[in-house]
Amino acid sequence: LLLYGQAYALEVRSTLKLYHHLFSSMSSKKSVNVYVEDVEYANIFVKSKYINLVSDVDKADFILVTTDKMLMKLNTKHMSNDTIIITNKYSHMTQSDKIVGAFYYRKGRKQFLFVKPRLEEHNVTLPSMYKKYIVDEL
Amino acid sequence: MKQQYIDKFLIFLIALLMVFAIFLQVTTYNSTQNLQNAEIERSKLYAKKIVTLLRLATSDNIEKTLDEKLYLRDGINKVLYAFLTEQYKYIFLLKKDSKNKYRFLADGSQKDTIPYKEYFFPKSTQFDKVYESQKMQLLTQGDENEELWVSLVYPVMNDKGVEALLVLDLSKEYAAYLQTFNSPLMKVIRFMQWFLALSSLLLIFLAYRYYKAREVLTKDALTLANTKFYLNEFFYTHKVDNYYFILMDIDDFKLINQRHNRQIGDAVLRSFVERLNINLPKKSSIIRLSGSEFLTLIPKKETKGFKAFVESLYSSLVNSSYSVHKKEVAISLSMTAIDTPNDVRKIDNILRLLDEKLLKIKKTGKNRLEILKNISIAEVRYTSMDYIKDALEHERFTCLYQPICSSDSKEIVKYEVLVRMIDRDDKTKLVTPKYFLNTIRCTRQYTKLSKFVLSEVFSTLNKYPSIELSMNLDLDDLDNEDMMQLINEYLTSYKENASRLTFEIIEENEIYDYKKVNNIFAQLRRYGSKIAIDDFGSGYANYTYLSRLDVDIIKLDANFVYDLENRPKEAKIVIESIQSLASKLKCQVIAEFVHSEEIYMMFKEIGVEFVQGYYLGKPKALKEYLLEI
Repeated sequence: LLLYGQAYALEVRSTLKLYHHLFSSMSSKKSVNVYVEDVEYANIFVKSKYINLVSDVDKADFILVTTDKMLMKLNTKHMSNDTIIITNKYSHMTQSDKIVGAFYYRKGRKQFLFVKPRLEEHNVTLPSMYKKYIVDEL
Repeated sequence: MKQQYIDKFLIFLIALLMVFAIFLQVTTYNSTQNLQNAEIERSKLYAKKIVTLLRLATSDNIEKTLDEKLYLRDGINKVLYAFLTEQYKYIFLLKKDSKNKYRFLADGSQKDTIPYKEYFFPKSTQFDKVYESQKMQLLTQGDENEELWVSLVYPVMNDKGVEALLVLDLSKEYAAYLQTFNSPLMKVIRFMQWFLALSSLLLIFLAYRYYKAREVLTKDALTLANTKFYLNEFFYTHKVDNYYFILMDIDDFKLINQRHNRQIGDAVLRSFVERLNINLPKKSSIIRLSGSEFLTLIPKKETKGFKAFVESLYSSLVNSSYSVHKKEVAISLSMTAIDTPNDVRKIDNILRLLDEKLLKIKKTGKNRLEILKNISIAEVRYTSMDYIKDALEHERFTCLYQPICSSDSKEIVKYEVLVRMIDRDDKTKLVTPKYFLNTIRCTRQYTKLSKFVLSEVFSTLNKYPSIELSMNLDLDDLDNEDMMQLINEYLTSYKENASRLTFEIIEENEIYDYKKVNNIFAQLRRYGSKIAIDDFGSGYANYTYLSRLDVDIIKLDANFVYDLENRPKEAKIVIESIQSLASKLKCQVIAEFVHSEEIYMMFKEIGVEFVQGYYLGKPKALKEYLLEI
């Protein structure tokens, strides 16, 4: 139990660190509003002072898409340019032009993916460490 | 075995265990590394085979073939999957596109196969390096990757260079499996590490306990001066001849306790040590040897003008009284100091000299300072037990003979036998008993020396039937059973010569049991030997002896010679009265230390029958006197 607790704590810490960095790279706000339906992610984000979980998509600075169902819902909704949609699946990137970036795992390795025109559309300039993950098209 | 050797042995043993544990760990680590390296070598061959298969299926352009023949994509994926054994987590094929982005060409996963040409962003630059160098690269994944141990990035070559990269990811599970081969050894190592860690903790604990115990042993709780234990240890690491030594004792300290009380006495001792501390140069040490006796060690480097310093120290310790518990307590102090000669190695030799001097001060009025001056290393050496022992073992002792003459005719009537130690390096140099006798008193060496003297005496008596001899015997010897047995053995063995021998009794302490002493005298007299009282008129050797002891001869103390020179009138009266008393008691009188004709004439005029001294003959080998005769 202790080992599990320790592993879980590490997981929470590393996930929060990663998303903090990702969100702060794309937004200059002191704290960001995030919309996420996935309970597991919500439970992690709730521990952050930087991330405010919101239940209304329109109030969100970032939307994290984790399911195909959610992607379909967002595809039918008109979204403001101020709202940046990211996902944790590569396939979502190919399915929707609204999604700006993705963070996912391939072959046990962390992967980021950003599409240049979509970033430009949202006026997002990423720091240099993310430059190598930017592609012109999918 | 000495404690210090046990300590060294334990430390050596633990160090040896540590080295052994480290050796085992390194060996085990190397063995595991070898296993892993062998596995990596196997993977290289594996990669080579896969690439050969790929080449067969895709000719010399994989991307073009897969772009054109869609069915081959799944086929290649299946080929890669077929190679996916337990040691490999992933096997996949990558290619760099025209924009230098990596894309999947094939993936050997059983499910969720990565789509053809999906982007892949490697974290390491080693992938690019394979393209540049056209050589395989090994990537060790760090702790942050929970699944992968090592990635083998193998170049797939065609005529133009590197066409694609084959990646074989070895799993962490497999690395752990390889390690299990050495796990029993690792368990032993871990056990040893625990054992050593616990031993180290125990050692630290013991060191702390030792430090605390040592503090108790080396610091006197009352005065905070050091103890004798400290002194013994100090000269393991310091040279004796680098220090001056001062021995001091507060006179009649028991009286301070009696007059005031023990608390005051304790406070005086504390104040005394404090004052001593203030007046000593830095790096000096104070050692409390006993109740009120202290020894100080002063580094020679820290003091200039030793004599002046000691005199000043003495004054500062006794000139003003000690203010304790609202009372002023004055003390008197006996002190002796020594400027240690160079090359002295043993503290015991120095302490013996100081002790003897302090005892002399105590016996002659106390309350003064005396500095041992011009002590040579040779003199210090003569007081060393080892030196004397060596002299006895190598028979470096001899006897000299000083004549005792008739005062009327100067004719030799007997000889006093005087023992001398021969210097080890200079055989002509003879050392008088004042240097060595106190050191060996009450030891086996003393008995050994006595045996030598007795043997010499009886042998001389035997050889020269016409001479008489006189030998010194300490009163304490009469109390010593071994000594008395030895004397009795000689007297019995040489009883025909015993009547020509006189025992000169020297006493340091007062006699309390006259009956016992008379009994012993009777034993000595059994075969006709005579008893003489040495140094009559000094210390305890006085008229009481004449009335209570059965003696044949009295030998006048050296002080009478001094008195004859300085107060002749009074001295003559006293000596005449002794002579008269002795005549009535049928005792003979011998005057010693007769160094001039003037003194000789004085004793002759008084009527002292026998005289002895340099005027009549120095201590020499007996043969010399016999030749003269």
